Amino acid sequence: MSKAWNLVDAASHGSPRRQQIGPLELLVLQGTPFCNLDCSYCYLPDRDDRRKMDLAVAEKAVEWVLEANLVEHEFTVVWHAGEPLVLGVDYYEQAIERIRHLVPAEIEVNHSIQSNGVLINERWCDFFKRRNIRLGLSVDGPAEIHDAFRKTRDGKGTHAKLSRKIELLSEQQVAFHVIAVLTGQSIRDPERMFEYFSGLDIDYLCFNLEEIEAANPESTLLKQDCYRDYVDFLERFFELRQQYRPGLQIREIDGAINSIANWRATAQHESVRPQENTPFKILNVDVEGNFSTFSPELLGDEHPRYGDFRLGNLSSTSLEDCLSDPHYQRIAADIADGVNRCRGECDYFDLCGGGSPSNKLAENGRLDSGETAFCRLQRKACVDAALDILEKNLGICAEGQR
Amino acid sequence: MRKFFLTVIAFFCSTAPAQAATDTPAQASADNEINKRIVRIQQRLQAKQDKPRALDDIRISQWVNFPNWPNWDNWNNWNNNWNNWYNY
Repeated sequence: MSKAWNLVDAASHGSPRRQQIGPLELLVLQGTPFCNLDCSYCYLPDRDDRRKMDLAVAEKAVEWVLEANLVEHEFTVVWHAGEPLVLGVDYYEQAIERIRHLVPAEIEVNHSIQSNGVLINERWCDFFKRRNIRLGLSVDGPAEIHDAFRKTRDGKGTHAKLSRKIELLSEQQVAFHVIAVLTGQSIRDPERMFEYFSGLDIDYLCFNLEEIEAANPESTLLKQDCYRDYVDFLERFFELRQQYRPGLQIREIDGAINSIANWRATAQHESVRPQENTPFKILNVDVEGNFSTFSPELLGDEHPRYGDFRLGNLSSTSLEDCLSDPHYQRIAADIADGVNRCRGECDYFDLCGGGSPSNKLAENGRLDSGETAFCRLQRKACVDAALDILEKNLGICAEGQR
Repeated sequence: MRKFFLTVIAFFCSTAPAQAATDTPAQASADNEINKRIVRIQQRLQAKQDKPRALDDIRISQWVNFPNWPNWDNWNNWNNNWNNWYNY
């Protein structure tokens, strides 16, 4: 019997094409759209909305992916798209128990929470440890950088409060990683950024970029010509890491080095299938059970060409219904065309796989487009930095220097 | 017992292994400048006869996976986490 992630025929511009579906890797559940903070670069349009997901919807989401045969051996439930901790510990205790009862023993379910951290207390610490939650904290750097964007609803900085919570996590021996949103300011001071992050009790650091996306129409990073600055930032950060904190894994640098070290010319067009542009590798579910796939940022977004990106409701729309719906097919076909455009135009395609649909839409106004400012920094700059690092350390002269 | 969603099956045409997302992809030049640089790096690593150790020399092997070294034939199985959304 075929699995759901095998090939499926999907109509596209009047002619059938084959697309790969799943397997599911991320089930993104929006426990609530509400956020207790008001960060100035936030892309979420509904962060004043205090609704919360009924646990029956969370259960339905898990039943849906199992019935649709989208799951292979494991998947991760990501509680996101609002501040997850505003729902309280009891909510997640119940949610995790209910999900656990639905999933067959041979399938592993991980739970991940991305939080701004300011609501963490000892009870949360106990929960994170006992439930083995993968916890990511949003920390942008030292106070003057973090507080420039990450503010309370009355406009105050959040760094001091977050720092106390980070101390509590360390005291309670709760493992966490950090996602830092880089801005035009932070990439120009790699020493200060390294000094700060190397002082945290973490072994994994991720750099996101201040993006032009959904409710955030501008970026201090992307509107400037920051390409060389960002490459320099990554290379300097790498040097400092090598010297002072070799145990600190940096997603953007080590991920790119990993891709380069393992790249195979003969397999280049079969290997890289990013979650964001492969149908149903990610299932995004909002508080009411409406769902989408591809980039999570698309759920809740709207566009004149597509309307919204909701593909149905879990209570009434099956995977089969969705795949045969012209609304889904148009979105999927345009995203596939965008990937194909990247494949034909971009020298970095083998290491990227075709970019992010939500960024293409926000920046270019089209899903079937190619390069974005986001991918120039988030992909190309990282690859360029990794190539520079490897060539330098392996004694390879750059082109034109030999 | 895990349920199989029989009605979906009508849509699924094959148990063939994963392929590219579309049928007739355009292809960037396989010998573009980025790929050339990668090949030079890999040749240098291979010249050392021991790629993991070569990367040890620059102290990054802790974070570089070599699941199939020295057999790269199973490259397709390698999980490219770098490209995944927020890498949860």
